[in-house]
Amino acid sequence: MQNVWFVASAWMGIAFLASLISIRLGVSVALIEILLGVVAGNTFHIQSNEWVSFLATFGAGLLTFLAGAEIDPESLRSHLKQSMAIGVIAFLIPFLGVLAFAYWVAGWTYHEALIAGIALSTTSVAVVYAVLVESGLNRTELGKMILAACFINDFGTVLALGVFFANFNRWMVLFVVLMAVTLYFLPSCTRAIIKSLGATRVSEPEVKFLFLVLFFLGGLAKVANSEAVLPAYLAGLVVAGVFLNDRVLVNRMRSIAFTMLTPFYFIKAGLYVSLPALIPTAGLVMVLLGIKMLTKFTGVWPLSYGFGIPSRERMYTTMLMSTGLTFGTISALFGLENHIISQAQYTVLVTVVILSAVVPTLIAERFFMPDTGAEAAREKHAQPPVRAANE
Amino acid sequence: MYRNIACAFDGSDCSRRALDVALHLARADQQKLWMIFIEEMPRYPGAPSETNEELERADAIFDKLRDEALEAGKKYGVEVVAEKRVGHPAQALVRYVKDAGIDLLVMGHTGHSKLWGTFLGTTADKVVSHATCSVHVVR
Repeated sequence: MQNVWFVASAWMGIAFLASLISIRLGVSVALIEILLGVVAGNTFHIQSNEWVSFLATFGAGLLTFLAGAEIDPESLRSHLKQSMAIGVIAFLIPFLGVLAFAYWVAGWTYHEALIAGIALSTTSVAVVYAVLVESGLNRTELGKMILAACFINDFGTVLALGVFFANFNRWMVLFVVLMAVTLYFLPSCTRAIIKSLGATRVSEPEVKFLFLVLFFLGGLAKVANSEAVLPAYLAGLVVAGVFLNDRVLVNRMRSIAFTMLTPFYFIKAGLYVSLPALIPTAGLVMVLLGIKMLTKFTGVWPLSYGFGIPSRERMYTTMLMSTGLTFGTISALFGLENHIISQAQYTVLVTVVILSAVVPTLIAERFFMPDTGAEAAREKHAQPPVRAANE
Repeated sequence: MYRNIACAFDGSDCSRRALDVALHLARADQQKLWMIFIEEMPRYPGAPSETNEELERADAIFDKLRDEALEAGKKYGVEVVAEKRVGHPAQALVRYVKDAGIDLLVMGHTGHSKLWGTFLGTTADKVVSHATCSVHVVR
């Protein structure tokens, strides 16, 4: 199909259907978009094209930027030691474990195994955050520490993706220098634009400024053969403090992302999953999922024990750190689009990533949910709850 | 007869009928009524923003429903105390009645998803099976 409007309407139709299903099932729209992408790719053989790929790439970048911007810098500072230790280990051991298995046991080449290691080293901040909100733990020190550890874990992932496949030449030096300068001035410039021009202008200068920075840094990353998600994540981290005080800006950026950009990314991520390739590799999928969870356990559990986190919370933390979704698919798609991995390998990795969003969460909630309800009830009996009554 | 009566209220027609029944029962027993609203979050989100946006939307709905329940309480002369919890509706309700020491939970037979309930069972079906208190299901 050549007509750009019909192509766009087909993609937006899938995105719209995903929203409807997501609302009905109470399951994330991102996951449904990936699954509908799988169906569309395998049954209707829908293909991506240049402009879809650009929207998808920018969607992934903006999602990464927003993920970085979600962190509470104060929370990160106050739990730096614990979250740094858990985050680094939670990245490193699964990365090395999956890399070693894929290289020595599954017979993948070094670069293919690298992509596998990176894709399965992630922790899904989004999945963890949703579970913490549900359990009420997001307001506790433990919850804040876990979230901070997830950010550090994902920083390891984007760093690995941005460094391992980059060209270390003069372009890389230029990229690093210009990125460092841009990131240094980004918070003050963003603040100044909001302050001088106002945060609610119809022409949205602050959003356009941030997009300009993301495009520019993405271009630099491309020149150095690195990945645009690395500068995007770092840009998000440095402006997190600004975002904390300007929820309007966050809301506008995520509306743009969720309406027009991320659907293209998630649907595209599903398009390349080959169902025929999944059948003969089902065993490998299960083994890789097991390795991801086991290596996360090996790294996170002893550290949690060392930090004196109680037994139930320790297992809960370990399980949550085993989740993955967005950065896992970003890493796998990077591997496929740069011809590092095959479509069959991409299928294996994305399937493991999707399962890793679901399986550890279910185990954590079913068997290791900390008893925050009983705590709330005790508080309630001491003092009645939300007094919204006739007063 | 009942000391702690709660009503699950999600703004559906059935839950409005349940609120009426619960207010009748609370007035008869001269008790206040606990109104509980469950904010359901998307499972396995792709970005933290997804959860935040749903929370903001659900908070706005809760504010509206709380005002509606308080107004209804005034008509019956019953004190209404509103509370919200986050989670899967059936699981969160079962946990709530246990934590809060509720004797009787009044709820509608179907909420907003009648079609889905036909296939997978309604929230009421699940709560009746697992709740630790009496459950009054209003049709």
